[in-house]
Amino acid sequence: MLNFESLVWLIPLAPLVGCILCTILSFRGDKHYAHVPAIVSLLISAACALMVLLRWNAEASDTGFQIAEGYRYLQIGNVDLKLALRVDTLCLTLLSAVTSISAMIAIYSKGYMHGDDGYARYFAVFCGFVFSMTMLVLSHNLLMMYAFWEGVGTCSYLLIGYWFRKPSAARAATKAFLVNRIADTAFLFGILLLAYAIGHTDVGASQSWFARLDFQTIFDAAPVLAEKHGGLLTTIAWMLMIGAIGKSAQFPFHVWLPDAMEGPTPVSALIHAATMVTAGVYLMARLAPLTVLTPSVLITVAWLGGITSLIAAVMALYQDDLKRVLAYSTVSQLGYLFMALGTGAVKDLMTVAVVAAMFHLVTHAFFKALLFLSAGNVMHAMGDVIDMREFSGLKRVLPKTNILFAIGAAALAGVPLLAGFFSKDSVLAVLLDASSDTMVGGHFSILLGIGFLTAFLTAIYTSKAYFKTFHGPEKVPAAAGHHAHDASNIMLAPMAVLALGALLAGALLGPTGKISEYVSKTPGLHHHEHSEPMWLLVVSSLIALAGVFVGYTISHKSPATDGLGKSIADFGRNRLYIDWFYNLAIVQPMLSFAKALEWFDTNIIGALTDAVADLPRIVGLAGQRIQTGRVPSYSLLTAVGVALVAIWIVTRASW
Amino acid sequence: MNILIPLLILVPLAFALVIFFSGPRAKAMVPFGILAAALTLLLSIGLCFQVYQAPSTLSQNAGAAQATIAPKVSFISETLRFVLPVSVAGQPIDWQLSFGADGISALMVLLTGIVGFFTVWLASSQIRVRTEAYIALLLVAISMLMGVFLSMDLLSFYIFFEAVLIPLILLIHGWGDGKNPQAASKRFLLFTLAGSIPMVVGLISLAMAPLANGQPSTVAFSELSAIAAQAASSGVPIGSKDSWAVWLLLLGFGIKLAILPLHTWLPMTYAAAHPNTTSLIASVVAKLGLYGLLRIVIPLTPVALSIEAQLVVGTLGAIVIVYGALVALSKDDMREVLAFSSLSHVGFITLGLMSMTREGLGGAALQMFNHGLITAAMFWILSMLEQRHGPIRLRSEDQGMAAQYPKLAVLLVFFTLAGAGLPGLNGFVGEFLTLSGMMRVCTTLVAIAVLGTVLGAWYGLRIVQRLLFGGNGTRTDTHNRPLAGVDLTPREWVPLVAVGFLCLYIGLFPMRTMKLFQADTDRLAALAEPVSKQIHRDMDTLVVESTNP
Repeated sequence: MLNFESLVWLIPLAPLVGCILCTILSFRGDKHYAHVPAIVSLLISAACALMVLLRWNAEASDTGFQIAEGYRYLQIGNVDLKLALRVDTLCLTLLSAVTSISAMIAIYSKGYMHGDDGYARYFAVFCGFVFSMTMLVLSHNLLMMYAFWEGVGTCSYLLIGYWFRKPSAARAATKAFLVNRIADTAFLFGILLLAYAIGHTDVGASQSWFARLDFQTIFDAAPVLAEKHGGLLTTIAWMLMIGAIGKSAQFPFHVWLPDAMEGPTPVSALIHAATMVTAGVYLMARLAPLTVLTPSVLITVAWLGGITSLIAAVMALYQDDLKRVLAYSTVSQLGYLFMALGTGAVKDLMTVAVVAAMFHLVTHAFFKALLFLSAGNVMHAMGDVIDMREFSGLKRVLPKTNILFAIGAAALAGVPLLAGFFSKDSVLAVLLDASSDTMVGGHFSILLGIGFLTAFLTAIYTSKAYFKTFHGPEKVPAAAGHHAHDASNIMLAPMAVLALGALLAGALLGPTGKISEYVSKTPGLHHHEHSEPMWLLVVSSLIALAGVFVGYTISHKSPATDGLGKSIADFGRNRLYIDWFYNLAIVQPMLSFAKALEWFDTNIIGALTDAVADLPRIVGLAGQRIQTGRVPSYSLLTAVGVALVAIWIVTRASW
Repeated sequence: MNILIPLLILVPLAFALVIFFSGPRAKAMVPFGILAAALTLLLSIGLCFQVYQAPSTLSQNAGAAQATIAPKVSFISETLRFVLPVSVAGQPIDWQLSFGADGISALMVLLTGIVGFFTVWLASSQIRVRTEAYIALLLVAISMLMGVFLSMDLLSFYIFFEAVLIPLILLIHGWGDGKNPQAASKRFLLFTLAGSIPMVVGLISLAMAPLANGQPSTVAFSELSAIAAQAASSGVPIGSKDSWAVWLLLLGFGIKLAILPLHTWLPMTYAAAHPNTTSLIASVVAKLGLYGLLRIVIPLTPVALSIEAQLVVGTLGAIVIVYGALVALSKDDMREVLAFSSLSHVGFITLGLMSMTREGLGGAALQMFNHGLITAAMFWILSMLEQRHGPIRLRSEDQGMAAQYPKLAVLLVFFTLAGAGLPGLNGFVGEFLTLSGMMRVCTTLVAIAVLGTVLGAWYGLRIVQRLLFGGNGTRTDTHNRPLAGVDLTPREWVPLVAVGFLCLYIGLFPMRTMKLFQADTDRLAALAEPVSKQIHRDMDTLVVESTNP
C-alpha cells in the first residue's frame, strides 16, 4: 500500500508521465497507440484521487490540511519556494471531479479523434493539461498556483489551435491566450503586491519572499492586513479577482470562451466546460479567508457574475451553432458560481457560499461534459456540421445520443430531481439568505431576481436546442453522407458514466448534506447549519418546467424577421456587440498606438540620434575650409598655434 | 594559477589566426573552426565546473572580506602589468592586470561558449560565401567576449570590451544582407564608440578613486570593490566626482545595452546583419552593457548609483519593456520584431539590476543567461526560415508554415512561449525574480513592467499565428511557384533541441543553475541593499542572512 504522500503525488505525476510518453510517440511513427498511455495514466490519476478522498478522514490532521513535500524549486538567500502539494477537502472535491471526468473524456477521445493526423499530439497536450490542472488545484502556494494557472492556459491554447490549418482556430487560440494573459497579468501583479504587503505585517516580516505566498501565511496575515492596510488589501483582492474572472470567462473577459469552441469537442467538454474554466471559482474559494475581508470586492464579483449569467443566457438563446449555445451556457453557469461566491460579503455566509459554489461546480462539470460530448456525437455523425439550422429530428438517427443529450439538457435546465436542480437551488438559496442582510441585502435581492430570470432563460435555450436537434422533421446535411450513424460504444460508455453523474450527483450530495459537511472541513471555513426553504424548490421547479415548455414551443418556429423581435435577435446573435466594441475600443487603438510608436521610433528618435551622430561631420566640414593644402597657410596656422600654447604656458607659470 | 582562463581567450583566437593565414587551403578550414568552437565550449564547461567546486576565497583573507567581487578561480601573471612612468598625486601608476572568474563570469562564459559553438556550427550551413573567414571572425569575437567576462580589472575589461567591436563590425558589414548593412555597421560603430568615450573617463576616475584615501590607484576589481564597500558602510558622504562618474558609466553601458533613447543602433544592426551573426550579438554582445552594470557600476559605485540614477535607469527599463513590445507588435520584418522583442526583454534585466536587491540581482544574472539562450534560438530559427523563404514578413496572415515544417513549428512555439515567460521554462524564473526584486523598491515600476508580459505574449503569438498557422502549407511565393518545403535537418535541429532542453532544465530546476553564482550576487546584494534602503526608506526589508558557505 502506498503511503499517503506518494498517493497524492501520483495524482499529478501519472498524467505527466502519460504526457511524456505521448510526446515521444508523436515524434516516432507509431501514433496509433497514443491513447494507451493517456487513458491508463488518467485512470491511475483518478483512482488515486478517489483513494485520497476516501482515506482523508483517517489522514486529516487537526489543521485540516496535509502537505506533501516535493523539491525545493528556488532559493535565494533565505528566500525559498518549495514545490509541495497541499491537500484539504476543498481541493479533493474538485480534484476527484477533474480526474474522473478527464479519464472519461480521454476514453471518449479515443473514438472521437480516431484517425486524426495529430492523434499523439492531442493526447500529449491532453495529459499535460490534466497534469497542470491537478497541480493547480493541489498548490500550497499562490505563486505555484500561478505557474500552473499559466500551464493550463497554454494547454488550452495548444488545444484550441489544435486544427491549426484552420485560420479561425488559429485566431481563436491566440485570442483565448491573450484575453487570459491580460487577466493573468493583473493576477501576477496581485501576487507580487500581496507578497509586498505581507512583508509589512508581523506575520510576514520574518518570512521569506516566497513563503509569504503560502496559503497558510496568507490566511494568517490577511486579518492583520485588513486592519492595518485595508486599502492595499482591497487592491490586492481586486487584482486576484481579475485573474479569477479571466480564467472563468466572466464579463468583461467572457469573449474568449465561445471562440474556444474551435478546438476538438472533447477538449471543449473537458477544458472549456468542466475543468479549466472552474479554476477561477476555485481560486476565489481557496482565498475565501482573504476575500471575506474585502466585502466590496465580493459584491463586485457577485454583480459581474450576475451580469455574465444574464447576458450569456441571452446570447445562448440566439445562437444557431449547437456548441456555441453550450459555450454561452457554460459562461452563464459560471456566472452563477460567482454570484454564489459573492454572497460571502455577508457576514458568516462565506462557508455556505463556497459550499453552494463547489456543489454547482461539480454537478455542472458532469452534465456540461455530457452535453458537449453529445454535441460531439452529433457533429461526428453530421460530418462536422454543427449549425442547428442544417439538421433536425435526429432522434432516429442518433437514438442513444438523443437520450444522453436529454439527460444532460434536463439537468442543465434544472428539471426537478436531476443534478442541476439541486445545485442551482443551493446557489439561489444562498442568494436568498444574503438578500435578507441589512447592509448589502439590496444587491443580493436584485441578483436573486437575475438568478431566477437566468434559470428561466437557461431552461428555454436548453430545451430549444434539444428539441430543435432531436425532434421535428428529420433533416440531415449533405456533409453527413448517407450513413449517418450513432457513435461507437467506446464513445458512448464514458458518456453513460457522466450521465449517471448528471442524474444522481445532485440528489446524493445535496439534500443529504454530504457536500456541505465535507467542504466545510476546509481550514478557514466553519460549518454552519443552513436550510433551504421549501417554497424555493417549488418556485424553481415551476420556472424550469415553464422554461422547458417555452423552449419547446419556439424550437421549430422560424425566428422573427422584423420588428423588435428581429433587432433583439440580431443583438443576441452578434454577441451584444461586445466583441465588436472591444476590437474598436481596445485592440485597434492599441495597434494604432503601436504603429505611432514605431513611427516615432524611426522618425523622431532615429532622426535625432542621427543628427547627433552627424555633429562630428559638421564640425569636420567647418574644419575642411582651412585644409587648403597650401604650405604657407599651414605654417601660418602652426605659428599661431605655437604662439597660443606659449602664451598659455607663460600665463599659467605666472600664476 | 588557472590554466583554463588564458586558454579560453587564446584557443579561439589562435585557431582564428590559423584560418586567416592558411592561404589557399582556407576553404577547407571550416571543420577546423567548428573544432575550435567546440574546444572553447568544453573549456567553458570546465571553467564552470571549477567555479562550482571552488571554495569561496573569502575565508582565506580577512582583509578582503568586504570585497564584493571575489573571483573563485584566477589567473594573475606578474608579467601582465601596466606601468606608466608618471605619478599622479604622488602615487605611481603600476597596475596589475588580472583575470579570473566568479559565478557571474562563469555563467556568461558558459553562455558565450554555448551560443558561440552553435553559431559557428550553424554558420557552416547558413553562410554560403567566405564561410571560413566568417567563422574565423566569429572565433575572434568569441575570444574577445571571453576576455571581457574573465577580466578582473578595469583596464583589461576595457580593452576587450572595445576589441569585441572590431570583428563584429566586419561581420555586420561583410555578411549583412538586409537593408543597408554599411549604414548599419557605421551606426553601430559610431554609437558604441560614442559610448566608450564617457565610459573610459568614468573608468579612469574609478581607478583614481583610491587616491583620495592616499592609497595608490588600482584597477583590480577586488580592491576597488573593497574600497567601495568600506565607503558605503562607513557612510562617507559622496562628492560630486562620484556622481558624475556614475553618469558617465551609465551612459557608456547604456548605449551598449540599448537603453531607451540610445537604442536606435540595435534594431538597425539586427535588421542588417545576417541572423546568424545577430544571434551572437543579441544573446551575448547585447549583454555586455548589463554585465558592465553588474560588474562595475553596482559594486564599485553603489552609493552614487542609488542616490543618482537607480530609479531613473529603472524607469527607463520599465518603459522600454512596454515600448519595445509595442513597437515589436507593429513591425512586419521578422528581424525587427525580434530586435524590439530583445530590447523589451532586456528591460526586465535592467529592472532587476536597478532594484539592487537580492532577488533582483540574482534574477537579472539568471535572466541574462536565459535571454541569451532564447534570443539566440529565435535568431537561429529565423536564419533557417530565411534560408528557405528569403526575408520573413509578417504582413500577410495565415502563412501556414507549420504544415510544411512541423519540427521547426514545434521549436518556434516552444521558444516563443519561453520568451513570453511561461512558467516551467527558463524565462519565467528570471522575469519573476526581477519583478519581485523591483517590487520591494518601487511598486509603480512593476505595475508598468507587468504590462510587458501581456504585450510580449501578443507579439509572440502574432509571429506564431501569422507564420505557422492558418494554412495547409501548399503556399506559393510571390512568383506563384510552390515553395520548397524541407523540414529541419538534423544539423539544424540539434542546436535548437539542445538549447531547448537547457531552457526546460533551468525552468524546472532553477536552483541548480543559480547555485553557480548565487554567493556572488548575494554578496553584492549585501552591499547594495542597505545602500538602497538608505535612499528608499519605505523599501521592504527582508532579513538578510549571509549565505556564504
